[in-house]
Formats: sequence, C-alpha cells, structure tokens
Amino acid sequence: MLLLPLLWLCLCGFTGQEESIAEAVGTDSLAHPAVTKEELAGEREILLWDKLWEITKEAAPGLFSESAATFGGLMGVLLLCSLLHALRHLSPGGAMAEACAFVTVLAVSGVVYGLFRELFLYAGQALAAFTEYLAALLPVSTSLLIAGGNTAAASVSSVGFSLFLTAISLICSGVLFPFLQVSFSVGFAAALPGTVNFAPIGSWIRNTSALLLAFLFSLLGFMLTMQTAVSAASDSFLFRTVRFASGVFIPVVGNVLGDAARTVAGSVSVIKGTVGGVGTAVTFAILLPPFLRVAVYRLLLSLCALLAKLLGCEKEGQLLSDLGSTLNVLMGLLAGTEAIALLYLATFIKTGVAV
Amino acid sequence: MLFALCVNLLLHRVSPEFTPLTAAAGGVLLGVYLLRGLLDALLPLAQAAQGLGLSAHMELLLKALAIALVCNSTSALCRDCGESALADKAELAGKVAILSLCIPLLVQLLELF
Repeated sequence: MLLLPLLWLCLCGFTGQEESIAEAVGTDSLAHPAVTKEELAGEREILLWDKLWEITKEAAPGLFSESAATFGGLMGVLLLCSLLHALRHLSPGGAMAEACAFVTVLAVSGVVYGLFRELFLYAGQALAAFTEYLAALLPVSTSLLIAGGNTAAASVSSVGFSLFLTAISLICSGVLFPFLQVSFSVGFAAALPGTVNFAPIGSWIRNTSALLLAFLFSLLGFMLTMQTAVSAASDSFLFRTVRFASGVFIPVVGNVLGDAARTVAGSVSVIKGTVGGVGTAVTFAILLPPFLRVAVYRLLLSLCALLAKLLGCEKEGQLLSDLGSTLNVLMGLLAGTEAIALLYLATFIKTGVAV
Repeated sequence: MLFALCVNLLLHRVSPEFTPLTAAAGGVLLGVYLLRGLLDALLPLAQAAQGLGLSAHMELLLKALAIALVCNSTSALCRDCGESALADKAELAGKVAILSLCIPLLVQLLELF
C-alpha cells in the first residue's frame, strides 16, 4: 500500500520540485480573499497574528456602528416600555396592567427576534462557507499526508474531519434555527404576564444544548488527535521498514530510492506548513467576524437587560437576559468549530514520517 | 393642576355639581400639555426607529401609551364622579384596544417562525 505513494514520491524527488507536488495535490483550489497568491504559493510567510489583527480591524468598525444603532433602537423601545409600566401603576383597578405588560413584552420580543434571526442567519452562512472551504481543503490535506507517507493517518484524519464537517452542516441546516425558535418561544412565554414559569425549561434547553455541543466537540477533537497520532506512528514505522527493505534488498538503486523518498517527504512537509497556514488564516477569516458579532451582541443585550431592570421593566429585562444566554450556545458552536478546525490543521502540519 | 385644584375647591362650596367638569377640564389640559412635551421628546426617537426598521414596534408602543393615558384619565374622572362601573368599563375598553393593537405584530412574529 505504501509502495505506490513511495514510487510517486521518488519520481517527484527526481524531478525535484515542491511546486510540482503542490500542483499535483491541487493547492490552487485553496485560493481565498484572506490569503494572497504569494502566501498560497509559499513565497511569502503567513503571519497569523497579523492576519488576526487585519481581520479584526476590518470587522470591528462596521460591527460597532451597526450594533450601536440597532441596540440604540432597542433602548428606545425599552424607554417607551418603562413609560407604559409607569402608566399601568396609575390604574387603581389594575385592569390595564396585563395589557401593558403584554404589549411591552411583545414589542421587545419583536425587536430582539429580528436581531436574532439576522444574527443566526449570518452565523449559519459563515459556518456553511467554512464547511465548503474545509471540504475543498480536505482532499489537498489528505493527498499531502499520503504523499508524505502517512497513508493510514490520511484515511483516519480525513474520515474524522469529514464526520466533523457533516456534523457542522447538519447543525447549520437542521438544528440552528429550531434551537433559536424553541429558545425564543420559551423565553417569550416565560416573560408573558400570568403564565406558568417557563424559565427552568429555557434554562434546561440552553444547558443541554451547550452540554451536547461540548460533548460532540470533545469527542471529535479527541478522536481526531488520538487516531491521527496512533496511525502516524504506525505509518512512520512502516515507512522506515520499507526504506530499510528497499535499501537492503534492491541492489544499486535501493538506497537512492530511500534518499529520494526522504527528500520528497521534506518537501511535502514544507507544503503542508503552507497549506496548514492558509487553512488557519482562512478559518479565522471566515469564523472570527461572526464570533465577534455574536460576542458584541451578547454584551449589548446584557447592557439592555440591565437598563430594562433599572427602568423597572423586570419581565423585559428577564426576557433579554434569557435570550442573551441563547447567544452563549451560538458562541460556543462558533468557538468549538474553530477550535476543532485549528486542531485538525495543527495535527496535519505536525504529522509526518520520521525519516 | 394646582390652579384646577383651587378652582375645584372654591367651586365645591358654591356649586358642587360643576366640580367634576372643572376636574375633567384640568385633567384634559394637563394631558394635552403632557402629550405635547412627550411628543417633542419621542418624535426624534420614532424617526430614528424608522431608519432602523423598528417603526412598527415604536408605533405599537406609542399607540398603547396614548390609549393607556386616555383610558387612565377617563377612568380616574369616572371614579371622581362616583361612577366606578363606568371607570371599570373605560379600563376594559383600553385593555381591549391595547390587546387588539398587538395582533398584527403577533401575526408578524408568528410568520417569522
């Protein structure tokens, strides 16, 4: 099984160039606006901190102005709600109190659901773009692992990462919006006057979702790291055995084949470094802006909840707090996805045969 | 309001049947004055909300606020006149009016789901 890649390696080794390996594995398909042509070709070093700073600098100004305007509107709505609350206390019979409470909760819910829908759509699109890009990177990384002599590690990591990408796609298409709708409905029902206390149900939904996500990401992370490490060790052993056997049993060219394989494995590790760097930069470019947006929205929602409670709108404040907690799950999903992708890329860069 | 109170107290001795009318007049005048001040304060807020796509929510709250103000003053006047049944009806009318205002937004919210 290892002989065919080894022969291919040797041919590449004789023709000698990293460019030909890069072209053969299809690194051109990894082009993205976040990386320049020189960086993709490995002619220029990818400085990840600089990339992170650039991405944050590009995302931050628009994000803050847009969020400030949107949450300014929400604060205006809260001010009106507090006026209505003041009025409902004037009524001695208290007949209008429930109607006022209902209208204020409905108005706040309407505003927040619009914001959340846009935010979840944005995060969903980002996750879809991420899975699409990583699905394009997967064949390249697998080919490079095979070219580097890590056939078993290639199959194991590609299966594990495909599973992860499928899980993320399924979460995007079938879980994200139902989760938002259920959390929102429960939060809304809990905030309405004269209803049963739904707050524990909402809390249970959020905690369970967070727990399931944490379990899924831990399992995938563990599986990817451990299985790749174990199979890479067996690949190393096999590679050395084949090299030794070719050196001993193939007369004259046996040693030359082994040396060529070693040279190509070195070239492949350079390309792997470039591909891993590109993958990391693009992962940040795709997932960091939605993560920042969710974090800013979470912060501003907490601020609005505090303002609502200060203005005497207890129910609205509670609704905003509950809905803000929903964003924790979205933040966890984005952060977990990013962490697993980085783990995969780091393992991919690090995996190589000991020559 | 203090002026209305003084007039009311004076009128109470001379002809008590007019006191509810003076109280109503005082209430309406104060209400109009309050609403003018409130409108001046809330108009920029409503305009800003229109730009942010929140005009429906602001409109709902402003209408509810106006209805609640009118119904509160009406029911208070009715109570002052000793008509507590009418006061309750005024409050009920306000409640129904406010809840019926919510229906379009509720439908809109349900459609988003």
